[in-house]
Amino acid sequence: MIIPETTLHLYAPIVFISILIGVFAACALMHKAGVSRQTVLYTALLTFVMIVVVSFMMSVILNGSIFKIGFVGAGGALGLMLGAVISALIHREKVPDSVAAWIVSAPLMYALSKVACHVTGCCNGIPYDGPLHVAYESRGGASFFPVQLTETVVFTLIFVIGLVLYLKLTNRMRAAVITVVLSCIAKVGLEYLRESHIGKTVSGYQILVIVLAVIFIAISIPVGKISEE
Amino acid sequence: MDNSNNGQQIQPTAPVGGSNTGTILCIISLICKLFAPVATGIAVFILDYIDGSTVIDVINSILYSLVGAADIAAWVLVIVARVKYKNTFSLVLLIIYLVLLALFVIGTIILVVACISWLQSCHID
Repeated sequence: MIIPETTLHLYAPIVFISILIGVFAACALMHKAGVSRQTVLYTALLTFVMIVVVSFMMSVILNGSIFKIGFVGAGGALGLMLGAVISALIHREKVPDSVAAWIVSAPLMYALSKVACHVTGCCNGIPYDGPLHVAYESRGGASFFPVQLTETVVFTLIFVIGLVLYLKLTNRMRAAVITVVLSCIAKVGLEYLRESHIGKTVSGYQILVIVLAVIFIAISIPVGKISEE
Repeated sequence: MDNSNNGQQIQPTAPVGGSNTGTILCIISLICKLFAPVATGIAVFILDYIDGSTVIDVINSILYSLVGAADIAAWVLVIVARVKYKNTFSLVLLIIYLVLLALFVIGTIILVVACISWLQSCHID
């Protein structure tokens, strides 16, 4: 598959649409859990803002300049986690179900946003010319492993697993924890298929992902025990 | 929870002294919101033009973290004021923030598309 140079402008719209689809999915799950419309609306608003702001903040801090601002997956994940937890603590309405709804929807946002990376070539997989390889005109037609599309497929599957668990389990925080563990394993593993990872045993980004997963699992225990006021 | 009383909805009441607290939260929220563009301006127009040293990089990172944190704090405070105290000031602020958010999202998309089109036209020329 050859990606032309003219697809760069699709990046921002696809990422924003991915976030919005994830927000709608989380709102639908909150509604299904019986959360009031006002709480769903304010939670969606705050979490959307935090996904974008924390993602931009992390990109600027990691790159060291405001001129290199952009979306960072781990920043988005941290923003989503903080937004969902802070909102749940403000409203105190079905706290575990509300937080779990957002965590379960996170892999969907990530999976869809990776389509933007695939079509623009902002990042790429290891050099590879086997079946389903991808080539970018902007890189002189060199062939790479389709790591972004692999991430789309893997994280969509994780979303489906999380969704089924959310709808089946009584303790919905358990569905969220399983989703986070699966996402962490998938992200850390798929990093090895990226060209930027060649020559590294463990990257700083992989450590960041593991730290975020551990933080969420740690806070899921007290959050799971919060009952309505 | 049963909210009905002889068929009439019971409206949630604001806490005692809530009006003042709500207004104070809104004012702090507004200050936080205004801090973001001011600090970003300082960062862009002063610090980024000084040759990069480790100290400047650290100051920049702290400043950018504060900008993000202030923006998030502004949203959190206005939502708390709206949910807990239900005053008009919080509603007005919330609408202003929503308009700014919509402009930011649309502006970001237009800016990225415009920059890329401009770069590509330069490349073709």
